[in-house]
Amino acid sequence: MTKNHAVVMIAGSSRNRRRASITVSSLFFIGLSIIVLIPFICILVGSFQPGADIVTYGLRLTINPDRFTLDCYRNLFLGENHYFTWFKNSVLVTAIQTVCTLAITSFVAYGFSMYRFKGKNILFALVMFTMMIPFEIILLPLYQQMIQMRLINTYAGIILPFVANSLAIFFFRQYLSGISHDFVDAGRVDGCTEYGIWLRIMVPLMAPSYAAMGIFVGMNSWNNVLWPMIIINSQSKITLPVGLSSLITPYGNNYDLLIAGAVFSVLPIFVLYLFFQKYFISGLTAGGIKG
Amino acid sequence: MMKKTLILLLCLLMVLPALSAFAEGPTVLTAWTFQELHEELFETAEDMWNEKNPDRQIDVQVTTYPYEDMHTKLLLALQSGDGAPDISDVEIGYYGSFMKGEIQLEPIDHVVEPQLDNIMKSRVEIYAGPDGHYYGICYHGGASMAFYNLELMDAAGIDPSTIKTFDDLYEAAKVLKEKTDKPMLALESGDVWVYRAMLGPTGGDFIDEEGNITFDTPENLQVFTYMQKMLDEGLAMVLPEDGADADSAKAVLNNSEVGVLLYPCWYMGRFTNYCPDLRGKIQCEPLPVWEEGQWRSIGLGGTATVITNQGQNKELAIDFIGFMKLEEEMGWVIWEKMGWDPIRTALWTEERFLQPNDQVDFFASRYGTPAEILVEIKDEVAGINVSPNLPIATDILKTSLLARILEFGEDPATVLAEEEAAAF
Amino acid sequence: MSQKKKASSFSLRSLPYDARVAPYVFILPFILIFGIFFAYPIVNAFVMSFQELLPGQITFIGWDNYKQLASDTVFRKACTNSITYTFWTLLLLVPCPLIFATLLNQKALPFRNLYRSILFIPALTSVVVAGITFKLMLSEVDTSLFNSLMHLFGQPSIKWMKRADTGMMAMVMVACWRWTGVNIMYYMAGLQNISEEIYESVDIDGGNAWQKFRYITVPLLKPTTIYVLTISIYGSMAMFIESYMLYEGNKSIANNGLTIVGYLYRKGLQQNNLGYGAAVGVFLLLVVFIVNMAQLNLFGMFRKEEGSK
Repeated sequence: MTKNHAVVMIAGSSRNRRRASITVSSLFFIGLSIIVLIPFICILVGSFQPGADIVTYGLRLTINPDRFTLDCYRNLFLGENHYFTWFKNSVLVTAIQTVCTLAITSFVAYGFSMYRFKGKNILFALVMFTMMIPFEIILLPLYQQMIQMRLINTYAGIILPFVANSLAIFFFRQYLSGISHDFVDAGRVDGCTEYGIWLRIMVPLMAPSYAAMGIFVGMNSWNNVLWPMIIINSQSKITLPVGLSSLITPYGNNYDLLIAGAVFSVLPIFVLYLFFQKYFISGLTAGGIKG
Repeated sequence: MMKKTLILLLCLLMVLPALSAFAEGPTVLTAWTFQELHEELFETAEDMWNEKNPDRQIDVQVTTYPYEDMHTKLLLALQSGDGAPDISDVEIGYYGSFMKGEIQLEPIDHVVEPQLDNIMKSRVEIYAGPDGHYYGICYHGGASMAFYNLELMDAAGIDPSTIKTFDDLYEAAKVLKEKTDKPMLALESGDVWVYRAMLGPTGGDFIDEEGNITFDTPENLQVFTYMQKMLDEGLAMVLPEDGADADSAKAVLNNSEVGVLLYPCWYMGRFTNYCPDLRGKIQCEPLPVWEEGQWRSIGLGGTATVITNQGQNKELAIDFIGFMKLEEEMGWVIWEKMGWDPIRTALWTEERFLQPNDQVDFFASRYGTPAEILVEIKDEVAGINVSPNLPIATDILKTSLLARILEFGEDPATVLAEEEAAAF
Repeated sequence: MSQKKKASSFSLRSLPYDARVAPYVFILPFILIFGIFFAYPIVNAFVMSFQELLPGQITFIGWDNYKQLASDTVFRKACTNSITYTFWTLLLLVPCPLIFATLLNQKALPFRNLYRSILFIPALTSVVVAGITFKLMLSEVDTSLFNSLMHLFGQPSIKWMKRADTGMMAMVMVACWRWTGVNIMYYMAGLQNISEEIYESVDIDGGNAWQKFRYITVPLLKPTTIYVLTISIYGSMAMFIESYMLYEGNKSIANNGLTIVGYLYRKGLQQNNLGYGAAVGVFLLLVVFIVNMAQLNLFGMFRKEEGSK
């Protein structure tokens, strides 16, 4: 009797505590969300004034109502500029890079997770090792190598060094470790080749993880700046972030395009995220970082 | 039979584009620049060239990249042997990087040498390689001047034509401060032009004749001590961001926030393009000097236009930039349309030089028009030393030295000694 | 299966069925890409760091690049900047997301998915857009967002990007803005694997929220923490584009925004001194490697593996 009573007491006070905790948390996250959104509001609001004003006044939450104009967007959509060439290039590079990376890394991860073979541990250690080494370290030698391989100024040059993304391999291997070997054996019994098993059985089973990694890889590719900036040198092949960054110069007069272009560049990936959000989270959770 | 026709057809297919290239007319020349205004000049020059050379029609396709980006891209493209344009601008601050190893630019001696007597020689000599060949031609003489804001001068009752020395400038600054509470001297902490214009009259430099970096000299110390004194007493201001070429700095000038800018002549074009409120208010004068008898100007800045070794039509490109930079008619365009002092100094003595034009009319003429001032200082334009170390020295100035002294108020003598010791 | 093996022997047609060959085929793409685009360039970085490379001229110069590096004050400044930046990002980007994720994991919290989505949005913007936006919000003119905030508190305007401390703050701020949401995602994924029952057992034992956090959440999320720490060290030490965008190029005043990779870029690409740049790269490689090894060792990653053998 007394024991039961005590349990109820604890439950009661913990309910109160929980309610307080919910209120505090709510307030906290509302505040945090607002802070996080401020830069977006600033740049969005700023895009409705003449581009030159953003350097004269900086970005803030308001604009001078007398200076309200849609010129930035008019210039973006109707003006003579390369923006949509860059945009198209970025879409192309991102699409190719995402598809290739997903195909190759899930293929490799399958090898690592479903077989025992000599050298497996050492090879997987190499995967982990590449995860820890910043790409920037090999910037200069890789650039020289690209010259020799005649990959300068090509999309292959942008994409190839990243298609065996070790993070993706690691991720897919984790995901596959949750899938039973019985599927593989069943496939063998059915007369599939080893690779057929991967293609016909595993690939469909891995769909949620593809969505998660797809967002991850696509995001990285869409936002990649440094390498494309170095390796592409013709205006017609430049990708969006590189093109946007090229607009920040005191010697040009492109602030209209810069600010409207910046706003517009966030949109597609944002829309994609809203669509695939569910997969992204479930994918991360399912395959995720279990250690 | 079948095979032969096929081969014939294939050959035809390969020859056809080549043939059509002949028929097509204008040869495409690609050009890179980092400066919008240069793009304008390229276009004007293209039209004038096509008018004069009906048999050598060209189509110049100019791309404007950001300053750093363009130079890095060009270095990379030249190193990789692929992807460089036919023609490119190279700013003096970067030029040394292009003079290392086997030079990947085309010598342009045969268009420069015949003109040497008509032009400011230093403007091509700074772009001569270690092998003695000329590789680039400047856009302008870059003779530096003092640009006084007459509105402020009048408010304080200062006659800028009486400011002959930096001591005069200091005294005038005190009057200006007292009457208007505005600083006199505009300084830069992320760009080198004001500093170089002030260093010019001393006869000093930060590169010696052997090409070594020498910050730790009495001349440099004199200039920086003066700057710091002016700042400490509120008689000078540091322009926002990097310096006078930043948009926010142009806004400061346009709002009459500061009395004088000591800068190369090519800033005239910036005033006319970006500072509309200053029409009729800017009085050009020779630079103040430290001691009587010093030269009152120094040829500064400048961007070379160079021909890379990767183009298909190098000869045509060389002839074109020779025309664009050195011919008389283009000299007039550079002076009258762009507002830059043409390197063809032969023009400076002609009657037409002193005539009003769209650019010059922007400026005040109470104590002499910009043209008259230029003619006055024509023989006092000092040159600078150039070496492959110049990019490194410029980099140190822009990223460290200037800011340490002007923004953080560190002791000039210490900073100069430390930065020289650390430079390589 | 054994049937298959017998049939396989040495006929080409049965090769696709051979489970002994298959793993090597599967990992072949990794080996190729790793070899060509990773291992070879790393070896090359070492080789280049002993050379002077000019267009058309390559000279072996021994340890000269490294000797120069040892006495290079600008390089020291770049290292200090990168390390300071790493320190602050680790301090903010590891514990904060852990706490936020724990709070967001309260099932009763209304709109928790919305908050999580909002916090993640900055990760979707490129560094370029983030850099431009923050640079302009931190503009030194009086009307910029941050300066008008200063005025609100009666303070004078600040030249944000010209001061060392506020410049560093700007870089750290961009990093936190973009990565907090991502790290929250990682932690939330980790939290899904901790069963409710463990928490309930603490409830019954009368433990409070802090105790739950301290004695259950933190230890059980250790693998996630190690992972977040590893990629954060990697990312922070190699930071460059953030600074490049905030300072409108690789040329911050007093080198306040210069990072190790920025210096590699400046020396190697902008000043055409590839050998020296490569030496900077090799140095960075060693530092990141050592720091990460030390970190993993500290958390007992290696001990665990040995034990399980």
